[in-house]
Amino acid sequence: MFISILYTELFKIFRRPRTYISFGAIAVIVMLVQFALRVNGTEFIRFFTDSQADIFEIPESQILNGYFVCVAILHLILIHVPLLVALIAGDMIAGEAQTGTLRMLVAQPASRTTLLLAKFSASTIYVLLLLLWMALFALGGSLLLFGQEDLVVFRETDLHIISQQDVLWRFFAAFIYAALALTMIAALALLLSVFAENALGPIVATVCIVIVFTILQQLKVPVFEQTINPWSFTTHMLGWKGFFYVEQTSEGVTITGSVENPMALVKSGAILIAYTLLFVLVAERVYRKKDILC
Amino acid sequence: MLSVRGLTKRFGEFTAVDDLSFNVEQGQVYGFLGQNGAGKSTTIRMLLSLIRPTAGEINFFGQSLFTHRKEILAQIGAIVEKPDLYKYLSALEHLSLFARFGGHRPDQKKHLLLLEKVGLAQRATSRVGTYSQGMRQRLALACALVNDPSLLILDEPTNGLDPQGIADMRQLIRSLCKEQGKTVLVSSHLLSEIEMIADRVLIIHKGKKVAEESMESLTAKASQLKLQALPEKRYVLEAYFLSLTNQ
Amino acid sequence: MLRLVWISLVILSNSIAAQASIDPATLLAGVKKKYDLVRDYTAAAQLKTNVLFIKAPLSQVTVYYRRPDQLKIRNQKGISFVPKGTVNINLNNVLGLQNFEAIAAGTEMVNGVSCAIIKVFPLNDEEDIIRATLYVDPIKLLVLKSIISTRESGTYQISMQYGKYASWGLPDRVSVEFNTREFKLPKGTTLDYDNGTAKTITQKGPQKGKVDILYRSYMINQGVSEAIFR
Repeated sequence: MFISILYTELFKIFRRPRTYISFGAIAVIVMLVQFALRVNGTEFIRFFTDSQADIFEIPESQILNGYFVCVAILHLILIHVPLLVALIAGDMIAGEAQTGTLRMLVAQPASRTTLLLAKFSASTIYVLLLLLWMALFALGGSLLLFGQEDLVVFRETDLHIISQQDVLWRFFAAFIYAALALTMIAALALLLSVFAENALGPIVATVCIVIVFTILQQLKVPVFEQTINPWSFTTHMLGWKGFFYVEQTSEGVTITGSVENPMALVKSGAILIAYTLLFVLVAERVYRKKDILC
Repeated sequence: MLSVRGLTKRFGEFTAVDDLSFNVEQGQVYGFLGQNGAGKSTTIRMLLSLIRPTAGEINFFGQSLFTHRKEILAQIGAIVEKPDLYKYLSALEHLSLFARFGGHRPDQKKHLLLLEKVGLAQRATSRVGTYSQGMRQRLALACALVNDPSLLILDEPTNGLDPQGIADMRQLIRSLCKEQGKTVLVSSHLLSEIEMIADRVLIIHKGKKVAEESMESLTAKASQLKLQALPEKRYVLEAYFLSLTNQ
Repeated sequence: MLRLVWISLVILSNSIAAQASIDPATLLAGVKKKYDLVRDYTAAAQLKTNVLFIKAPLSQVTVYYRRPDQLKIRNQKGISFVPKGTVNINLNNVLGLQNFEAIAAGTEMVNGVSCAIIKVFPLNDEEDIIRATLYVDPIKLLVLKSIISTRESGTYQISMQYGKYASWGLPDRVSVEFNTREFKLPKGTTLDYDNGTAKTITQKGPQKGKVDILYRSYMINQGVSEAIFR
C-alpha cells in the first residue's frame, strides 16, 4: 500500500508544472555561475589569494578547474535550495488542504501515517533528484567546461589543496550529506504543512526559519555560538563542506582519503537525522489526530 | 450496513452534531437532509474519518470505523462537498490514482467505460483545469466508483450540474442501487431530487435528528398535515422539511 | 691520547687560518666556475610546502633551469603554491652579479661542514637583492646555505644538501625558508563548516614558511626550450 501511495505522490509531484521550476532554476543558476567564472574566474580567485599574491606564484588558471567551480556553485546554491525544497514539501499537505483534494485523499483506505510517510518519502525522492540534477550540471558541466585539476578549498584562515585523484569521492559524500540536510528541510516544511491550510504559510515559514538560524550562525556572537549555534540545524547543514577539509600528518602533509575531524561530521549527520526524525514524528502525531475541516 | 449511535461533535463550545443515531440498510438510497450549517457535512466527514467524533459510535458492515478504518474505507466511495480535483491531471489519471489508492492496478479500458457511464469519455485525457463544475462533479463520482465500492457517500452530488446532468445523476444513482445493489447515502439541498430517488430520509436540524422516515411513511404524514392544501405547489418532502425546520 | 688532541688542534687551527686567508672574491669565483659547468638542467623533484595556512599533499614537480638565472618549477600534475623567491631568488642571482662587494665574515659549521661566510653587497641600486650571505664549503666549492634579502620579496634562507650531483654544484635537497603573511579572509565569505578543530591562526606580523625540494634526478646540459620560461 505504501508503495502505491508513494507512486501516486510522485506521480502528482512530477505531473505538476511547478515542480520543474526548481529544476529549471538550478540549471539556470549553475550555468550563470559557470559563465561568470569562465569570464571572470581569475578575479574571483584573486579575492581569496590577494593577500599572498606577492609571496606565492598563484596558479590561477589551474585553480579555476571543474572541481573548484563545482564547489563554488554548491556554495552559492545550497544556501538557496531549501527554498526549492520547501516549495514542494511545504505544499504536500497544506497545498492539498488549500485546493480541497486533501479530504478526498484522507478518505482513501490508507492510514494517515502511511499517507504522511509516503508524502515525506516523495519529498525525499524529489530532494535526491534535485541534487542529482545539480550534480549533473554543477559537477558534470563544470568538468566539461573547465577540466580536471587539483581542488583548492579556501577557508577563513587556511586553504586546502586536494589532489584530483582524491576529490571525486568527496563530491559524492558531500552530495549524500547535502541530501541529508535537505531531507531535514523537507521534514520541517512537511511538519509546518500539517498545521496550515494554505501552502504559502509553511513555505515562507520554512524559509524564514532557515534564514533566521543562518543569520544567527553568521553573526558569530559568543552568546549564540555557545547556546543556539551548536544545536542549530543550519550549523550542521554546512557539513557537506567538511568532506573538503583534509587531515594533515605531523609533518604538515595532507593525507590522501582523509577528512579533518570525521567525528564532527558523524555528529552533524546524527543531529540532522535526529531533527528529521523529530519533525516527521511530530508531524505524524499531529496529522493522525487532525480534523480535516477544509 | 451503516449504524450510527450517539454521534456527537463539538468544536469548543459549539456542538455541530448532537447525539445523532441512524441506520442505513443495504441497497437503500438514503437521503440526508438539513439546512446549511445543520451538521450534514460534519456528519459525513465523521463517517469518512476526516474528523474525529467527540462521542458516539460508527459501524460499517458490522465493524467499528475506529478499529477497522482501512478495511471499511476500502468499501466506500465518496464525494465530500464540492469536488476539488487535481487541475493538472486528466480524468484518466485521476482514476488511475484512486485505483492505486484502493490497491488496484489501473485498468484503462475499465476506466474509459466508467467515464462513459458518467458522460466524460470524450474528455478523458483533458486536464481537469479545463473542466466545467458539472464535469468535475461527474469525474468526482467516477473517482468514487473506481474501486467498485458497496457503499457510496455523496455529499451534494448534483451541485453544479445542468438539468440534464441532474437527471443523468439521478438515473445513475438509481441504477447503482437497483441494478448493482449498492447502498447510497446522499445529501442534497435539492429536496425534490431526494424525494425522487430516496427510499428513506434523515432530516437533521442544528445538529440534531428531527426525523428519520421511509418515503412512504413521510408521504402519509405529509397528507395528515394537509400539506397538499398549501397555496404554492410544493413537493411533499419540501413541505415536510419546512414544517420541521420551522420555515 | 694527549698527542692525538694536540694534532687535532693544530690541524683545526691551520684549517681556520687557511680559510681566513681565502679572498672572498676568489672563493666566489671558484664557486661560480663550478656552477658555470651547468648551462641548463631539467630535474625531477618532490616538493613539500610547509606553510601554516596551506594544507597540501606532496607534489611531483619538474624544475627547469637555464643560465644565467632562469628557473621554472612546474607541477607534473596538480597544484602547488610555490614561493616566488624559490623561482626568482636563487643562487645564480648572486653568483651572476657583475658589480658587488664581497666581505669575509668568518666561518660557521653547516651540516657538519666548516663553511666560510661571505657577505655580498650589490653595488648597483637597481638590483632586487639588497645583500646576500653565503656559507661556502671552501674545499668542495659548494654553497651550503644562503640568506638573501630582497627589496620585493623579503628575506629567503636557502639550505642545500649535496649528493651525487655535487660535482656539478647541483643539490639533492633544497630548503627555502621565507617570510609569509597573515592569511585571513573576511568573515562570512567562505561560510565555513565548524568541525571543532582549532582554527589556523596566522600572526599579523611576518612569519616563516618553508618549501623543501627533493631532487631525484637531473638531466644536465641537454637543452631547455625558452618557451618553458614564458
